[in-house]
Amino acid sequence: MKKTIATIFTMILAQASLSADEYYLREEIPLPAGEVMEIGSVALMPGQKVAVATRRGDIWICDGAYGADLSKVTWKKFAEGQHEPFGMFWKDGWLWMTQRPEVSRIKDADGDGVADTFETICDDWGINGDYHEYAFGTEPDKEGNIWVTLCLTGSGGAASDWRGWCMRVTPEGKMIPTCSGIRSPGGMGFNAKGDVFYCDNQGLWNGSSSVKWLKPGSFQGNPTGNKYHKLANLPAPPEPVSGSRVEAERAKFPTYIPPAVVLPHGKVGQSPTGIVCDTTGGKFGPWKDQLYVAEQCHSQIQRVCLEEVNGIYQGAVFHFLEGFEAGLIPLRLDPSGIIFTGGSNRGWASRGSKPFTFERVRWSGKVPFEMLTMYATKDGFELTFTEPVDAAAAGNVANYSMEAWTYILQSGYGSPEVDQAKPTIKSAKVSPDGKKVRLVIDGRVKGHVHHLKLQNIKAKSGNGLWHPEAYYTLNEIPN
Amino acid sequence: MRSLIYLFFGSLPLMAQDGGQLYGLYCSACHGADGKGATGGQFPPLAGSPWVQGNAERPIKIVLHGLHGPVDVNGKTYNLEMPPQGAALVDDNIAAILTHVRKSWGNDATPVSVEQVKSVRAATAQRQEHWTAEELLKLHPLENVKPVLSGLISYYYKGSFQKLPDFSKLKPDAVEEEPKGLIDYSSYANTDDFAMVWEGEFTVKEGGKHEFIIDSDDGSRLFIDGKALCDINSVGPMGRSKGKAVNLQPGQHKIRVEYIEYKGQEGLAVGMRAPKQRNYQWFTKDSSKKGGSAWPEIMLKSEAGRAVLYRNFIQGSTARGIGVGFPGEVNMVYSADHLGVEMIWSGNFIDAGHHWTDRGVGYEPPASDQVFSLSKKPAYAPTSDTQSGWNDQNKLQPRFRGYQLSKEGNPTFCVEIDGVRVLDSYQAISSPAQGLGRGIRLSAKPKTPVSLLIHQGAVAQTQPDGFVADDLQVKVKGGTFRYLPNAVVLDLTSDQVEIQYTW
Repeated sequence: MKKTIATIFTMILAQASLSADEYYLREEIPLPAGEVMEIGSVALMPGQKVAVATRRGDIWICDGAYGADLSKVTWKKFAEGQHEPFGMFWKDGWLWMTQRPEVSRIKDADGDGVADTFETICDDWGINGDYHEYAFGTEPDKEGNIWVTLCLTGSGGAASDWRGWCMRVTPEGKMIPTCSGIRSPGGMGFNAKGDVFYCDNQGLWNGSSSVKWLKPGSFQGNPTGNKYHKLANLPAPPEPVSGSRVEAERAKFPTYIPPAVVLPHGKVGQSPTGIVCDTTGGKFGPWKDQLYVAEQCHSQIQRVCLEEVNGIYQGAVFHFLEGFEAGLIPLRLDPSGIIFTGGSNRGWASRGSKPFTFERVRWSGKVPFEMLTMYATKDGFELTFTEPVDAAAAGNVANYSMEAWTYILQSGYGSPEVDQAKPTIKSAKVSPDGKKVRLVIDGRVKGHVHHLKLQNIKAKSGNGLWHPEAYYTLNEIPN
Repeated sequence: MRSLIYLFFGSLPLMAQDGGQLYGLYCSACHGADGKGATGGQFPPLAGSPWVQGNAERPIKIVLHGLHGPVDVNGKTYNLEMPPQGAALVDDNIAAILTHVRKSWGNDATPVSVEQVKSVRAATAQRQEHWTAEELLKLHPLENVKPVLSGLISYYYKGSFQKLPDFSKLKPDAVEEEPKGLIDYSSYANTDDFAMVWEGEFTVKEGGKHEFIIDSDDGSRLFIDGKALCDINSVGPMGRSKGKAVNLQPGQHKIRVEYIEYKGQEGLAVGMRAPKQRNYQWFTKDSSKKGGSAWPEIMLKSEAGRAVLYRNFIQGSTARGIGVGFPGEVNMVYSADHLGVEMIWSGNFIDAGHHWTDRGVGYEPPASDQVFSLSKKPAYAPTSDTQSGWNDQNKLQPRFRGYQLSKEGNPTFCVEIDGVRVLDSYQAISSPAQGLGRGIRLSAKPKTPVSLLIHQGAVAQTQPDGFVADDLQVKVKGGTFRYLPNAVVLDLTSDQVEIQYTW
């Protein structure tokens, strides 16, 4: 009996040591009473103010969201009547936003605290009244351009100009067609180098949701909006064969850029949205230059570790934060190390059961024992851990297992996992400092998602792994 | 021991696909882990739903190809898109999930085999589009759905009624039994000039306060247990619902519904909300949006003397509609595609409930009956192109540049044409009559003469300083306007023009 109690006690302790709260503090930011705040955009403003845009088209400015006592937060309505903005930022005294019909910027010219000047920067794309014709936009890139992804009509057609394309919009309002092949974006962001990524959601010509690299001139896989190349005398984008695989089709078409990181449908969320890069220099944990990817359906934030191999992005996704109160849409990371996120589950359900939410996440300063990075090598993968591993456990191949699969590239909706393979871990070599493990693996498959599972691996300190799984998309194998 | 081993291996194929686990992974986000529909029933429930029970072909088809458009489940209408799963889930996944769904949460229907899924998949292999509820109900009517009303009889009367008549003095032209137990005026061929009465019974399970609602195009009256409860005794559209609550004891109760249809569209919704129930149960083919079946009313109004602005899909204008609701119930929609005011209306501005519920599908009309349509075409053209008619092959390529709001929220829209900015301002006016005032200013003289379409359609009366069209009085000050066949055009020769629209 005594032993049982002791066991239960240890179990509770073990559980507690793996609780997210110990590492990351998630807090709900109080919203203005009685308002429906289905947040679709968040913009960080000077003076620690935060602007949010709701799906109903209201823009509110929040004061106090950085403060220690969130009960002191105050809100001021700045504008109303905008059309579902998804992407907003502050620049030079203006709030810029990408909304359904246009890229706009707004300001309060007479200083009464309410916006009075609404400038349309660019409205050169088509909309026809279909609810699915969303437009998502980035913050400005290095040249000051806003990147906009235009969802397909009804997510399966292209009934209005430039549906299924990514455009760059210059500050002067010129629209530059940049990539084709888009289906249903959920959010956009940059990596540390300034390259642009977006999340595309599972559906037609999209076996699973993924994080995709918007390389200028590239095709992203869904040919529905291809015809619009004629509007700008651009070369016709690829027409992939339904029933094929991304790997096979991209071998035929050099402009076809494969998903950088597949987020296996159902296993790592199923509706990815906003993307931010951790350029805080360690203020949000040790995940330097990695991407955080918000998730609507599962109310989570995933962590993505990218690398460039043979000129193509690829990498691993790890589970990271979960339990948000509604489906997440926008994601912003303040340089001081605070994530601001919000969301809504209107029209698309989420695990978080509230109809809308606004939240912040701060790092406690404690580093969880985790796989920090996972990089492909010539003959396997190299893992880096956040602290030295127990070398005996980490050096034992029996503590690793791997499965690989891909998806059908098809005109139908989604895909089962197919072409399953079972790569074999041949050896696991721990580095002298205990922070790296080099896995030599037989039977990896180019183009497949490689699901790595770790068991019984502990840190030298005795800590258990917070998240023992990784999903690596192997587009290219390093030489 | 032998039999145990046999049992163990015998059960393996079933264990290979865990329907509950697959349901959790692929379905529960929307339909809820408890099958009741996620987020408090915003999504269609599967628990207790006749759609997933009975003939398995029906749910198999929905899973394979998805479902588009409105669907009624246990008296509530949902209009969300069910994405097709046939390309993502293999046959044994679908069989396991549906078997789980059909045996969970009180559901009791036969398991679904892999062979069944396979054969439905093969039979529908050519299908590209989603199913609609209507289409599926024709192929596979819902089983075991008890008629809502028992002993239902319909009486049909020919005649032109603008008020509810005294039916006791009329002789019906037809009397029918209605075994479907659903009040449905469309069972008779006429769509104009008729009246109907239905009489039947319904069952009350739990005693207490029952809320009744009626909504109709045109008139209707509801009787419960012989007593008149509420009526809509005039000609008009749906959306004029009336309701009343009554205490009812458990058992059978009588219902009588009277209905008149004068001209044009028709509709009839009669619903009842039992104690502790969230949704109305409809006795009719139609349901009323006021009854909470589709979306709540969110009427946008000007507040504190300031105009309210609403960019969305407004019926009668284009997808880039900008609605403005001024104080004094004067409203308009400006099209940022066509770059002009397209409709003006008095009364309520707009009900945003439709766009702000679920995914916000479709165009929403003005929330008023008094709507004046001004134009539906690109508003600017070179004057030289508009001598014989309005030419909307827009050569000028005007660009929408946004708008400014005054302290009162009154908008000035900005259009740029070849370097010249046209500032187009609007505000409500109360003299000489209720209406809309418009001012047009140009930042410079255009290099090529430009004309503005100010009215499209027939003009009833021409005047030296304006015209009357569609009961709308239009006065123009400071500009030159011309009549074209079915259009009135303003040549932007003056740098300041005032237009008044009154009614």
